[in-house]
Amino acid sequence: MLSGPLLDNALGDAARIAELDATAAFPAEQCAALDAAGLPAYYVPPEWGGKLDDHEVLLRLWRDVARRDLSTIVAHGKTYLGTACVWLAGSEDQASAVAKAVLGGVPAAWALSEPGHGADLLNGSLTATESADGWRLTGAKWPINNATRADLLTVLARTGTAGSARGQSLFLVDKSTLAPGTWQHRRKAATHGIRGVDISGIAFDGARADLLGAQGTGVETVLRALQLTRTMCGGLSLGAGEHALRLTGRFVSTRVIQRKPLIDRAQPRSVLARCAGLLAAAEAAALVGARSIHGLTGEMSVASAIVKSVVPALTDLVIADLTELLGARSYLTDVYEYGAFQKLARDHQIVSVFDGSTPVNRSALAQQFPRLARAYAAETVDGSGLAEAVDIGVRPSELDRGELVLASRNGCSVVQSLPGVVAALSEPELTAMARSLLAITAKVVGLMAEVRPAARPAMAAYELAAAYELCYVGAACLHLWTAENDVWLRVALHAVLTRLTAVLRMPAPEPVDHDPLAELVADAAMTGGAITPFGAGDSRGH
Amino acid sequence: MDIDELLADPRAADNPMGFDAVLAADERQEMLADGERLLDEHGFNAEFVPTRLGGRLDRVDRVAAALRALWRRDPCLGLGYGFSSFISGMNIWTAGDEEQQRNAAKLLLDNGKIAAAFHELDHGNDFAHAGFAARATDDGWLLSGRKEVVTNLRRADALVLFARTSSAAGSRGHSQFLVETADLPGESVRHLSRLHSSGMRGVQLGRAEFTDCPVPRHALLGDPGQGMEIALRAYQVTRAVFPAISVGPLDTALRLATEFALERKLYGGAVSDIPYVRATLARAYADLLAIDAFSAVAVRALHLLPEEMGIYAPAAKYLTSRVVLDAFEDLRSVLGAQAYLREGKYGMFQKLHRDIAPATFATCHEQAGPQSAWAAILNLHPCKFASRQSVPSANGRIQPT
Ligand SMILES: Cc1cc2nc3c(=O)[nH]c(=O)nc-3n(C[C@H](O)[C@H](O)[C@H](O)COP(=O)(O)OP(=O)(O)OC[C@H]3O[C@@H](n4cnc5c(N)ncnc54)[C@H](O)[C@@H]3O)c2cc1C
Ligand SMILES: Cc1cc2nc3c(=O)[nH]c(=O)nc-3n(C[C@H](O)[C@H](O)[C@H](O)COP(=O)(O)OP(=O)(O)OC[C@H]3O[C@@H](n4cnc5c(N)ncnc54)[C@H](O)[C@@H]3O)c2cc1C
Repeated sequence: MLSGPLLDNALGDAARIAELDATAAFPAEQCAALDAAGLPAYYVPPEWGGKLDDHEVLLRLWRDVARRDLSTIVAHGKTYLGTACVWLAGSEDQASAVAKAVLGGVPAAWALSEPGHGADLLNGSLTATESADGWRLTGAKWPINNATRADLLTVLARTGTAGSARGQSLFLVDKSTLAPGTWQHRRKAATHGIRGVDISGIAFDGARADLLGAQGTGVETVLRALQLTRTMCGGLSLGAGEHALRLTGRFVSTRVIQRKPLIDRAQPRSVLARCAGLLAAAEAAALVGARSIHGLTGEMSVASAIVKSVVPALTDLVIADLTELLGARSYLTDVYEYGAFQKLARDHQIVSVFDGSTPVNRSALAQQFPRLARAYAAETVDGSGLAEAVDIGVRPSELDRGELVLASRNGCSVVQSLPGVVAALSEPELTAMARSLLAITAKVVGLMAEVRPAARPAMAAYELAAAYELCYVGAACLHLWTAENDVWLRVALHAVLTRLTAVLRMPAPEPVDHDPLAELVADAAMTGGAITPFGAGDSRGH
Repeated sequence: MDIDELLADPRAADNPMGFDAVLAADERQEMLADGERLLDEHGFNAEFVPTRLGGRLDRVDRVAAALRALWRRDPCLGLGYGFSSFISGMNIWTAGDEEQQRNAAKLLLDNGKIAAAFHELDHGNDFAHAGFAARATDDGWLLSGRKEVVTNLRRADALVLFARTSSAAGSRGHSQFLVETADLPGESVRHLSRLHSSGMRGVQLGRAEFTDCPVPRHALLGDPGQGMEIALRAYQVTRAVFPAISVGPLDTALRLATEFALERKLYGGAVSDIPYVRATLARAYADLLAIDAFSAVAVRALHLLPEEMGIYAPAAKYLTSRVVLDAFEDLRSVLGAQAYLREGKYGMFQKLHRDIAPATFATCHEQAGPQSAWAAILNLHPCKFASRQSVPSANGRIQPT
């Protein structure tokens, strides 16, 4: 099986990665090395010859690349996003052809956005028309990751009434078969981060395309595929957060101020530990979310929206705090590990934008408030599914893609099982924190029940969605808590509660001891040990 | 001089000071040359020179307003043309003798630049163990050591240098020197390659190695051992000014986001119809107004309630830098993809976001060093510091009370 260390070596040195960024050059060697290492097989389900049988594994692989270079995995990983719809809606022929291409290292793209329409999937203006010899596309997609490099694209196009749920269909485009003059690239956009990645566009003028799935099902297929891809985006954030924590952990361990290393001072220690706690919390949520793809498939409309909002948001917070701690070295591009920190900070800012931005995911969650509130009150829990979702590292059952539905019928078992988890705890400090989490969750869900469903929810709904996300994160921490990972998850739970109480303008929780985690993280940063409870050691060591 | 009038319409395509030109200079990692020329023509530096010495500095809120207007258009000009020389100047007006002050004033009024060379990468806030030292000789001093991450170090006409002058422990081990760069023997100062940064990309962050560089006795600012004290007194002013300045970039960011929301069509309406967007814009505006009010009071208090500045300045600084950065994050969620593009109509947003990032660096601590003077633009946390309070008098000279 592919492992983190193997990927570490494939990526090459930090100097080269910095140079590619500075010159906005595509990380071609890095992507080729990932191909050679066999990563594309993890984008293809086993029925078509690939190894995508465990989304926890894919999440971890992405994280392992992301902690070296987020740009590389954003570029490489796009093939997974670009083909996700094929496994859901493609014919057997389409799926096996695409599988064969992907396994052979052919990159793919996912073309949803248009210059005039971003999040609004129902109103795209690229149009598909059917003629005697098949479908033809006319119109432009931009900004699209891999639009120029990819040979294969899945494209959302209008086939019916604009603005209607069934007015759009999905198409598969193989550029190598297109007639000249029926398409052209749009030049690469200059981006703030992921500077080398191929963010460009494509314009069609009567280009041939294959219908993917039934006519009119485009948006539905996209929304179901997004439940998978949005969840996997968590791996991008975890990698960036780990990278930031390792860089800063090393600085704080070695920087001597007034004859004392910073790590021996209260404030830097506590910031480092809090950030490690937040990252561990994000990891818990992302892992449980990824495993839910298998265990709680029917609940992914909730879990994917949560993971896609909260994991990048927590990671942005971690990066902001660590920026302050690292000082000038977070800003300079030519000192301290080739300016790796400022690069990862810029790169990571894309994660909360693409594949559904944070406001878009929060509004998707808000649409499900009534059901979430009812299911919470009823303490609905899919017991066996939940057990599988929290059984980290264990090979999950096969994914039944047909169970991915637009709105979860059971709500969210991870949160709804909270009363039972809390009842089973005994250690006093942890129990006290768990009880406040439970009380806050009940309050949040109560407020959610009062939100009237609306096409354009009020701001309060977005804030409640943000709070509910944190309840999910806290619940994930409790589900995964063991005596062995206590040093992380105690601080993680505390950090989550601190944020929750701040969001809800309630009194902050009692402090917990940050020292053991600060020591552990400083040590892991120096020796290359695992820096999160379910993370991998860093083979380069330090 | 009305700075806004001078800088003219940011959207006008042929404006050499417009957003397109500002962004293009940023891409080249250069200062906006047309901008510097224009500011030179209008003698902008006079804002930093006390009226007594021929400049326009008699009230701190005036210089804050001038700098804010500059930062609203281009923070690189704001720092690399403006704030850097302002900080250096404050140290000189605080401690320089009559001749030093007159020379510095003349240099600034002739459009010269004065760099504040305090920082050493290896020591950061750890001033007590800083490596840069001055050794007394019969007719002056010999400077040795490194200075790094110093705005305009290479192109400045004069430098304010912070150096260890005594090995004794305590706060009186350092002194400041004011030297004109033309007077430094070339072989004793080796400029190393410029440092680059993710924001403020046009600003020339220099580094140099000094080896037994001779400077005359009269280069000393104030008395030997006063280096820290001078820095902290100047810092009283510069730190109070920064929150007022930081309103500038936020102002532009808010305008960009509002323009986008009104223009962009989505879900059959304008983006500005979405309640989330409306609330986010309104909150960012409220943040801007709060910082504006708070910083205005802090800046005026420099004159009127100097003895309370030890509370107002850090409070304003602590609160405002965090609020500014949070507001930027919120506005980013309105602009979506447009906040991530370095081109197009809203490309200015990501530049401002990068430029404002240092607002949280360089936490200042109890024994904070002279870097804190720089932390004036970078610092987030409230600082306790022991120096005497000072007040700018009517003639712009800062005097201990
Ligand atoms: C580097 C990069 C790579 C990308 N790669 C791809 C790709 O490979 N394929 C692809 O299809 N697209 C891609 N995109 C486009 C990206 O997915 C869109 O930017 C995203 O969907 C949001 O659209 P928008 O930014 O155009 O914002 P718009 O959809 O125009 O929305 C504008 C603003 O309105 C608000 N808003 C919108 N909807 C809601 C809502 N429901 N509730 C509250 N507020 C809302 C938000 O504040 C949003 O920022 C990429 C973008 C970038 C920058
Ligand atoms: C755009 C830009 C322009 C600049 N221009 C200039 C210039 O013109 N002249 C100049 O001299 N400098 C300049 N600087 C440098 C600036 O002064 C430094 O970045 C600043 O002083 C912080 O130093 P540092 O980053 O090395 O942080 P450090 O001092 O190393 O601090 C690192 C971390 O340690 C913490 N820490 C430090 N001391 C303590 C303590 N005692 N207790 C607990 N925690 C502590 C800090 O909070 C911080 O989190 C510039 C920087 C930038 C980014």
